[in-house]
Amino acid sequence: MGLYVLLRLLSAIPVLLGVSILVFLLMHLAPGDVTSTLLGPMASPEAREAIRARLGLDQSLIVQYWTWITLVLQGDLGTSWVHRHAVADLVLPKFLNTVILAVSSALIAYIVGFFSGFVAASRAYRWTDRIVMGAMLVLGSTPLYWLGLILVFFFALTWRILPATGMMSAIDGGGILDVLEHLILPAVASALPSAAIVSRVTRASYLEVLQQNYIRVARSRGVPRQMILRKHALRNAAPAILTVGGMELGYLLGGVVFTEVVFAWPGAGNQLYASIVGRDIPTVQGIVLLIALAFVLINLVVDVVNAYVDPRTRTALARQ
Amino acid sequence: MTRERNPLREAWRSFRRDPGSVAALAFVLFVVALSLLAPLISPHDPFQAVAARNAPPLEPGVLFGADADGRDVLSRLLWGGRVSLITGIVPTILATVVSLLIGIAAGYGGRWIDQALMRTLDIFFAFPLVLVAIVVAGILTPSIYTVMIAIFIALIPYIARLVRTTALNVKTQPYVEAARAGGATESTIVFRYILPNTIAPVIVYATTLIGMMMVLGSALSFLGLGVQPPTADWGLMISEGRTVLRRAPHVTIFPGIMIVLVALAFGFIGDGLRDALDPKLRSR
Repeated sequence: MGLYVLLRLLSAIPVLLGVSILVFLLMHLAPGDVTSTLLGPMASPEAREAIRARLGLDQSLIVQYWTWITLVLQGDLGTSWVHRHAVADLVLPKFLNTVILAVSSALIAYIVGFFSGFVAASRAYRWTDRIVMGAMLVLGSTPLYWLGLILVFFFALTWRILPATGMMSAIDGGGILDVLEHLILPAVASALPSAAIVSRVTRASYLEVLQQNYIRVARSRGVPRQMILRKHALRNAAPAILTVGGMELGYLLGGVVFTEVVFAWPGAGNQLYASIVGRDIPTVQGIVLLIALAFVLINLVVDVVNAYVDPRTRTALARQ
Repeated sequence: MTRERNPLREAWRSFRRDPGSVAALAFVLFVVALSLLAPLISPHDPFQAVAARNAPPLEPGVLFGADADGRDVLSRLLWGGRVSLITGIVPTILATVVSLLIGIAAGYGGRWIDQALMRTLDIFFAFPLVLVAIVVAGILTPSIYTVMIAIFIALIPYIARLVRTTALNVKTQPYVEAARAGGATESTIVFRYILPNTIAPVIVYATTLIGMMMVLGSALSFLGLGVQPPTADWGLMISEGRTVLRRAPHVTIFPGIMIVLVALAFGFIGDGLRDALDPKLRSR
């Protein structure tokens, strides 16, 4: 088991290296002259040369990359072109807000997804199953940002029971309850499309497992139905569910940009959007790099947990 | 001598039997037809104000109401359908073609090519797909082509990975070995055996992706990274409806419903295709 973890960690390193190269190249892949963005199109050639020298853009790409990556590894993500202070200072607090939103969404997605899939599988092909899966099917095809707007329309604008935007109230805001109140709509909006996928996979996985011989054996031996569903089937259905859970976490990380924009949630996604529109490349690089890092780590954890839980890998490992 | 059964016709016959898939296909074709015929059947010019601002649905002349600039929502839905459908369908098809090349090269071409290609794609897998699309679209100038390029780039790793896995599987099949023993050249093997047998799951996957990419394309336009006003596009319409959400929810609701319906339909078609192409499920 430990060997697997080690190998998995080691294989992540070249990926992260490649990621850093790709992110670094963003600045150079973007069409348009960097100096025009910074100084305006009317800038003199001397001013452009000066900026180029100051940013180190006159050196070879490899030297530039090396300078950049050594700084990044020390925690310096560069300086924002728009806000004129360190990207790290700008972005890290917002990341915390995004983590709060992402974790809440993930929890809701897993819980709602798993239970609805479980219920649908245990009453397979009957009305409950059809209704639940029908709802999940629709939710899975729904654009995230639109779902958010619909929720805002009903809960915030029409019924006025929840706030429409922001992370806390402008007046007297800041307490945990205040944040929670603001968290509900964005977290639910984010969670539902992912819950739909988790639900479908849970149901499919359960149904497939329930067909297996060892389940029939257990049933013929008189094991009560609930115990079959919960103990035997769960263990074997788990790998597929965990895999999709990990995948959905990645999808959530991507979709968080939309949720944050729609709900004006002050997170990294919102900042990323603002920086893209504002052509603030260092900030875009910093945020993309951090998200990729988080994503790689999440996938790693999912793989390890999966390997641990999957009865087939466990037997294979035990035999060694 | 037995007649050779055409697998395509078999698949179509199988597909035809599932009412859900057929209905979904009919719906998609209907929407495509409506969008193509938009210049002829659109009740109003999508760029012209024809009613009071934010006019509610069922007012004279505007069946689905008017938007914040007084333009007919129904007309904009029809015209917007073209953009939304194109941004979903075209990049997915292109990405599938390129991915077939990459995936088969990786799956069949031997260890070195496989490792090189897959390590490169692994780097893209380190980013959430939506993020790749947003960043690519973000660094280019906003336009419909930008959205298509962004989706194209974001999709390739995923489809290529599937092609590779399938090709690896097909490579070990007995009929490939038999062909090689019979003296077939490598290119014959690739085109007559590897390619046709790899295509089926890829087509199913790509069909389901079309719906999701339509949603993504609309999302990019929603963010302002794609089609620009005053062009009609479902995602852009939703974005424009934001400012008048309370007074005129219909401006936001209708384009969203269209997206959901078309995405759902493509999902159903994909499911139907999967069942139709699955040899295990064929009767007889």
